[in-house]
Amino acid sequence: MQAPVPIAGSGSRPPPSTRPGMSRKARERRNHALLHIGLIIYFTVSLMPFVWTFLTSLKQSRDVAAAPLKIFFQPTLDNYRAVLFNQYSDDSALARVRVDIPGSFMNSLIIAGGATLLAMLLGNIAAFALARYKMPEREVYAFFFLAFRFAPVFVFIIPMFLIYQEIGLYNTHLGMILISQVIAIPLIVWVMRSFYESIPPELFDSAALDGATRMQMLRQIALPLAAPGLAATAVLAFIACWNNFVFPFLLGAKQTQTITLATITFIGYEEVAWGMMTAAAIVTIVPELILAMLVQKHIVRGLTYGAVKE
Amino acid sequence: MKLQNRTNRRRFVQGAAVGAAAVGASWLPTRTDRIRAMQDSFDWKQFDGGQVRLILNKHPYTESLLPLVPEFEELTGISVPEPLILPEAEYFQKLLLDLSTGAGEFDAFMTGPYVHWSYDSAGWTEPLEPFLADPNMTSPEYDEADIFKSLMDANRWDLTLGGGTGQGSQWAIPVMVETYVQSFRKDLYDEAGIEPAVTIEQWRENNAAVTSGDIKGIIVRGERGGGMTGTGFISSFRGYGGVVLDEELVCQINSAEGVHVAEQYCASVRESGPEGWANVTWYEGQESFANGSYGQYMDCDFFNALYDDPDKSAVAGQVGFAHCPHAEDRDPFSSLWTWALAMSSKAQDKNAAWYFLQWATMKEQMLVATVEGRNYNPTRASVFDAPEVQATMAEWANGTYLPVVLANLGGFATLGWSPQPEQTFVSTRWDQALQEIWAGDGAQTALDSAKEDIDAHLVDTGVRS
Repeated sequence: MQAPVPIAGSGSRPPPSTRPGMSRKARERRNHALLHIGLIIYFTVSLMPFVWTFLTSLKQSRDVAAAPLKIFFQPTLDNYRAVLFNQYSDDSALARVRVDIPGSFMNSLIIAGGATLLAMLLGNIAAFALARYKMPEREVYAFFFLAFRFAPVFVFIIPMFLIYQEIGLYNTHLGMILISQVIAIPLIVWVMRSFYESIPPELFDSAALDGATRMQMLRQIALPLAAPGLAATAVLAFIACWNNFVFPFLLGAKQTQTITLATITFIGYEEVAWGMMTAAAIVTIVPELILAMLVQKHIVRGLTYGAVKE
Repeated sequence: MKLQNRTNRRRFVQGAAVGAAAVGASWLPTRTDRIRAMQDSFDWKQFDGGQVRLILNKHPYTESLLPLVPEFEELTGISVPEPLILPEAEYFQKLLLDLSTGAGEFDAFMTGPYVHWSYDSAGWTEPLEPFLADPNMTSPEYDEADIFKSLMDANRWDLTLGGGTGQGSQWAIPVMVETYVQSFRKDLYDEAGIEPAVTIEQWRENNAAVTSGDIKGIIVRGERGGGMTGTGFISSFRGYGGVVLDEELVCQINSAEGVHVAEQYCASVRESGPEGWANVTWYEGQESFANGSYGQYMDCDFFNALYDDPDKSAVAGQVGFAHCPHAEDRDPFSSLWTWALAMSSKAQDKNAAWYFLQWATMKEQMLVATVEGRNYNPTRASVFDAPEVQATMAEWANGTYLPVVLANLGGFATLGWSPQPEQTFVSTRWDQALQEIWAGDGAQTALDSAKEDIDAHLVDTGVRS
């Protein structure tokens, strides 16, 4: 029997596998190329703000504001000199009101680092308890932690401002570390809880039979097994605390000014110092970038670890 | 080549102005001389050991004042911990939090008339006239009369809603004043054979005439809540006889004058202005005009310090000034804003805080602030008239800066708004109406709706019955 011959214009086409002129390998190559083009476009668009920020940080004031946009320009490190070493040109108004980026950077390190350490300690204990132990209203407690993330910050920031003023935590590093728990602990509790839930319960049962206490189970079984998750969660918590603007703005002042807050002080009436502001922004993302790169494999593994339960 | 010559000439003019300022600066008494001279006539050590905590806006005045603070500490023995300095938006939020909660974190701060009306009526600011009137508290050299009376009056208010400015308590002392003008590209106007507009119709025509290729005719603030109606627009609105609130505090922005000015203004921005106007902030306008993208920016006069700076501006030497558009049968009008220093009613040490306010607004400090810190426009007549200050301002905007600003300060400029504590709501709702008109709504409809909302809000908040 003769195979039916497609009639031109009838709309019927041969199935893809039988299309003339393109082998399976060629189609795969084409799809691969299209995928790559798509990814290149996606990454170009995603990276554009960072590239733009970096290029602006190398420009002089006049080049930043130039119209049409200057793609080619004489790069300068003056902006980095200013933000890293407090070396401003004498004619700059900023020389009079130096934006202390190095000092603010240290404040950010102390606050974000301290907050992450404290939150990891407290959050992991809570996450382990919520994951492994039956208790009345367990889900209510779990939701309670999440509720901090639902509540708009201005709901509690004004009472906190007054309380901080009253008890002397206002404009202190300790105060900033404590308030940052509002950001870090819910994140740690909810992410780590799923890690602990994915650990086979038999391990804990055996440990219990051997007389291990709950803290020993956490320390000697749960934490080592959840190490990838710990790294991922710690980095995420650190980034969340590092990027926070509202707490240091409203509950801090000059002595606890973080780098996110210091960066905006390049806005002035005489000019907006975009070059210095973007240089400060680049400096701001360096610790996050280094941390993320150091624990990159743990982040990917960590974030997918608890996703599928056996 | 021609452009090169122009640039060279501009650089020369700028250099001359800077040189004049530098020579002027060299005439300033030294720090030791200043302190010695001040100690001779007044007991500045009366509150030795006190402390003043400051929150300041990121402003040329702040930048010029800070290097002088050690002099104050040496003169008085009062310590000034490092102040908190923030850009405008964050500054006002932080200050409001401190004042409204009564935390008393800051003793002295920067403010201005429209803003401190709400502070004054809430009792958050300390009246300053008792200090000014007390010879034991105020140096005989203070010379209050040297501060422009209209600017002192702008910061004086008897708490009467809808009126009473220039009477009652002195809530703050002005340290800088801005008025509003048409800053236009003289070279483009000359090329197009046009003169700066007098009426709002001419303004619209001019903006269209200059729009060509990459250059657009006009940029003005368009961000809701960012002073959009408070600078050039309200100046034109008032220049046509409009009033925002009448004596009964009833909103009148939908009057015939209001509709006319808003229609022409928004139509012109739509035809000859930036595409994303609703997001244009004051600094985007300032930068965009300075980089040569627009034929005009109708906004603050002192922005000219940037426009005529050849290191930062592409239009240095090409700018001209004119009054904001107004009805032909009326005088020009400019609203005004003064940055001023005020004291918190919760100040820890009010005497020390007053000493700081007094010292920071004296002639010597104000002169240094203007000459060295480019704090324009000064609020003291003696500083305004100082040769080095005049030399700088005389060159600005091709010689048009000084006549226009002087005329404004001489009578055309006054507060554009009626005093009442809900100023922010009124201006922001009016901003929204202009955005709606720009987006295509009818001017009458948009302004009627805004008027209704404003009236309802003023009743709800008890500003009027």
